[in-house]
Amino acid sequence: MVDAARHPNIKILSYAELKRVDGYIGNFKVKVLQKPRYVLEDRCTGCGLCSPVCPIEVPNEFEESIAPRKAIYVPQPQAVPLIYTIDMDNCIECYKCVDACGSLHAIDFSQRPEEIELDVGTIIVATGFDIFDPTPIEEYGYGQYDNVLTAIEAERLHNSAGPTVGRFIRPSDGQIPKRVAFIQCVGSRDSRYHEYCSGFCCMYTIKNALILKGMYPDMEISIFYIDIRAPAKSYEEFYQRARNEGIRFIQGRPAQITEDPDTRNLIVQAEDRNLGRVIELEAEMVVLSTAAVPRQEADTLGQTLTIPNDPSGFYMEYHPKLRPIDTPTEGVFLAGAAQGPKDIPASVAQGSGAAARAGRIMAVDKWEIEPIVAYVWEDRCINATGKKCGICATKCPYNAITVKPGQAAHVIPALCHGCGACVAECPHNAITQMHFTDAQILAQMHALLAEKPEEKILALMCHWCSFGGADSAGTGHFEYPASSRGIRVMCSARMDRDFVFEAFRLGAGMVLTSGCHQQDCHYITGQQHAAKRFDKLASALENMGISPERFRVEWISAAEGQKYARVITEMDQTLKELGVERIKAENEQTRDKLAKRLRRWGEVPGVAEVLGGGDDGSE
Amino acid sequence: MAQNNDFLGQVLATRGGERVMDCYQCGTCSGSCPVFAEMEYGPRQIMHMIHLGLEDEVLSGPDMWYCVSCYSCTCRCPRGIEITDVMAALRSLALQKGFTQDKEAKFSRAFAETVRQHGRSFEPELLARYYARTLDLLALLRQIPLGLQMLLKGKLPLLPKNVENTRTWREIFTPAGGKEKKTEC
Amino acid sequence: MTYAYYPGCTQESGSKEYDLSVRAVCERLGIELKEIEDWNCCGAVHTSVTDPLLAMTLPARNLALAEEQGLTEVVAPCSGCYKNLRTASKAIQADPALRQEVNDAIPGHTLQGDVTVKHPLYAIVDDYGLEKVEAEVTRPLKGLRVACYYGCQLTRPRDEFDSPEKPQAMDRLMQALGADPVPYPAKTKCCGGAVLLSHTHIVVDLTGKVLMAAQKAGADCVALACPMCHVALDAYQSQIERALGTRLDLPILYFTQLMGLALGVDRQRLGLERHIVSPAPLLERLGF
Repeated sequence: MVDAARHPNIKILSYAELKRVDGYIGNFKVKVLQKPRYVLEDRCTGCGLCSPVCPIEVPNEFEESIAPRKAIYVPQPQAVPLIYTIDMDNCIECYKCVDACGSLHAIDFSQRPEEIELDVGTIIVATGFDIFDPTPIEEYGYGQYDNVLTAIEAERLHNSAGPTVGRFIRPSDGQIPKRVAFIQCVGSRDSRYHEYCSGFCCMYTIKNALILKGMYPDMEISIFYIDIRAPAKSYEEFYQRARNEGIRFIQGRPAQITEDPDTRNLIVQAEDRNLGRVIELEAEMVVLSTAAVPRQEADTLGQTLTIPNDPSGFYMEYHPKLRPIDTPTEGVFLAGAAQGPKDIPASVAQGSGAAARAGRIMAVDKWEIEPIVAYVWEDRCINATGKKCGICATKCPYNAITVKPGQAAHVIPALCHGCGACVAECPHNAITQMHFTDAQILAQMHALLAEKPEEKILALMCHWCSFGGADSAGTGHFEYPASSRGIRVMCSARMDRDFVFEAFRLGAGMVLTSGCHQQDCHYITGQQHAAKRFDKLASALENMGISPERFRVEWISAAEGQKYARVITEMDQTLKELGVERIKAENEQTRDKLAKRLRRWGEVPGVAEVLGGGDDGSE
Repeated sequence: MAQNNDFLGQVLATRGGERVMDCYQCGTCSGSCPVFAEMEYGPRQIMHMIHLGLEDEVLSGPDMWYCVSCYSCTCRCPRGIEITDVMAALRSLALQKGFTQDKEAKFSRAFAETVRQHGRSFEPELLARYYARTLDLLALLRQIPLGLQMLLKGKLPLLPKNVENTRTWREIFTPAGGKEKKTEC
Repeated sequence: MTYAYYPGCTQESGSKEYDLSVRAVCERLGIELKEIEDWNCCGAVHTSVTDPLLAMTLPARNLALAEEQGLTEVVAPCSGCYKNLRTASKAIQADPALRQEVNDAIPGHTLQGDVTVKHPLYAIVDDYGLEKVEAEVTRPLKGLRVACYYGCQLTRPRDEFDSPEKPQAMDRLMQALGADPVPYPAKTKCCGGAVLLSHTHIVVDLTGKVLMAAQKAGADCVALACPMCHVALDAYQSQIERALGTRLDLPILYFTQLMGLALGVDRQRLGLERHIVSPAPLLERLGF
């Protein structure tokens, strides 16, 4: 950090918040709120004479509230920059710090928040993680029993720079515990709190255990675990070392912790699986390895940067295996635990990766983006005629469309991620998506349904999840009937209802629309637009005379190959049960109604040719 | 090791047994169970045995008959498995397979019969049916002091109180086309 | 405030004093209880062993009966009955297919809508309100150290009313009545009542632990909310004393009986003479 601070090309804005990001890759305009520290950065030397004279003490966040800090403080002794800040929520403006500062005159109570605008080419998000508060797990007594601590609290206690100068004392009586029990997976791997494994707790617990054993060789240390995860370089050897040094590993997740009211010792009750007995282990202190959770402010920041969350609440990467550092927003990258819990080597590696990914962009003058962007046909956009519309802009998850009165809607290509929501939602077919135009999709549909359409299932799939799921079905050898024909679009948001109408007009037996689960959508809200649209569509089709079983909406992820196979199998079954005759009859009945719905489609560039040379679509 | 994968399927199909495969053997359930010491295996091991399809061992064993339905395991299970309901399902499956020797199995059947007769419990008949099954005269005799105390305090009814129409009532015990199997009381 | 009242099988026999005191207290507070006509046994934990569907159908018949009487909220004083009725109610609410299956199986009655189920402890503490109870207290239970015993099925499976590990409602109620709830570690530990007759030694073991913990904490009595627990803690107390080789002398009272005393309800209406372990000496000491 000190190197970063001293580097001529690096400017650190500390005690500042990101407020707004406009623009796009290579051209971001960022508004930052510089909060007032009431200390002048160019005058404060970090000498620390102010802090001792400050009369106000409040809990110290860095010391996990074990120790106090003053109203004028640095977060921790090695903070970069080493500049003091006044916590105005608690300062009483007694000016003792001003006196202590003396001739440096570094304190300035007249400071106000300042908005700073930055032009940047790339953004890297490395906002880290927070710690799960285990209070809700009442059976463990955190918050009730003094001597039950979280791992990070324990770390501060054995740290030489910590509030007890490294004396590992227990809160109730300041004594060194003779026996310490560590409990793994508190809040992690738990369907009531966080499903995922936090990944680094086994290793840090072994580390803490070894440090304590080194400091207090007679201390009896037990680690209660479900599984020990030690996957990376020399981790397994570290685990072996711990066993060799007499640290006890007990496989069994504790059922409850109770307290002896006299000694304030804890009694940990657990089934020792390997003994086959329930044991009660008494310890002077218990340390809970709590889950790593997303930062509290992660959601707000994510919205500002248009980064979606993954199902566990951490930022979503572009692709979990192939592009784990990129976000779906070009030019914005992730590093460290913000993308998912990980330890130091992995974070550092990812940080270097993020720097490289960003560096590639900044090293050139021009940057190629994916061409599957939205494009407005200005002569078709009614906003240009003076009639107020702008629906496209409201649907865009990326604010990539600007609509000014009297002008056609305008797509900023670099901001467009290619979900196609605007295209499907435009009531006037005035906007299209390059490489996924209506004409192109219709051409595929017409080819697929040219012969015996009533025996076929037309499946519209989103690229990221459902198409991946169909792929998984294939690679997983999950068999399903050969009656399905698939069309891929980037997002279920692109699936225009007219596609479904046209498919039935062409005589398709069944139609499936399939996209990501809501929490997996690559385009933040794309799937939600689709879901709403399909809801209304189902009842519209039924009213027209299409049996409701013939239209199915499913949310299938890339890992759910089996589900895809099952859905197609079920639909094929339904298709056979309904029978070709009935389907043909329904199609006969509804063809004209559907054609009527689609009569203006021929006006869209390219569509008329596909529909059959200038007619309104009737065969 | 005799494995029966149908058994696993049967348990998965019961209400409360849907998530049995999620168990990762952490042992929180056995650690929480107040009667673990009485059981042969404990709930964690029972889960594992279900995974392995060890039907005979599970259903012939005593464990589920000792379960006191305290729900501690269900409350604390980090996988959200409704272990208490699984135990109940195992009791039912055990009865179907004819494992009726445990006293609690006999008690449950006696209770069900009594409720089927009257629509409500009726202790004298319940006890009669129970001890007729267990033939444990000693235990019955040992109950007499307490029974007398209860009688004197008016805690032991002498006549049953029935639902209005017992004949219609009993139909609830023979649902037509019921999905789940039942055992004759 | 009107609730459908589901007495449960033991209210007519083994725990009549609970039934008496619930009714008396509710009358005193102006809470109307309308007994469900022709109610049937909830099944306890035993009946469904012969047919798992009975765990839904037996409670559901009672809910349907309540609905027919124009009532949509049921209170059930026995924790076991309460758990069964509430679990069935929630499961049926969430699953239309289950509702169909259940309605098909119940002759002569159909559960159309949603009937919710509450335990009277929470109906009083949450719906009626503790401040109002406190205001109605005429004879505070001063000096009474009471161990509040929640048992199992009052707070488990986890629900919205109270913590399953460290519940507070009964303790707060006792405070509102002027009594002194003592903290002790066995508040939610099982008494073993489900296997009372078949595996009696388990009851002796588990209930013994509860009573010893209460005694160690200095309790004068135990307050509870379940007839099964009551039988275990009261009727079996002498057996437990013999097994442990110690005297316990702990009167076991329903929380409604204590409420009745504090609210000035006529003693005759609270069934206090029906306990095996007599509360008379304790009550006399306190001036009741």
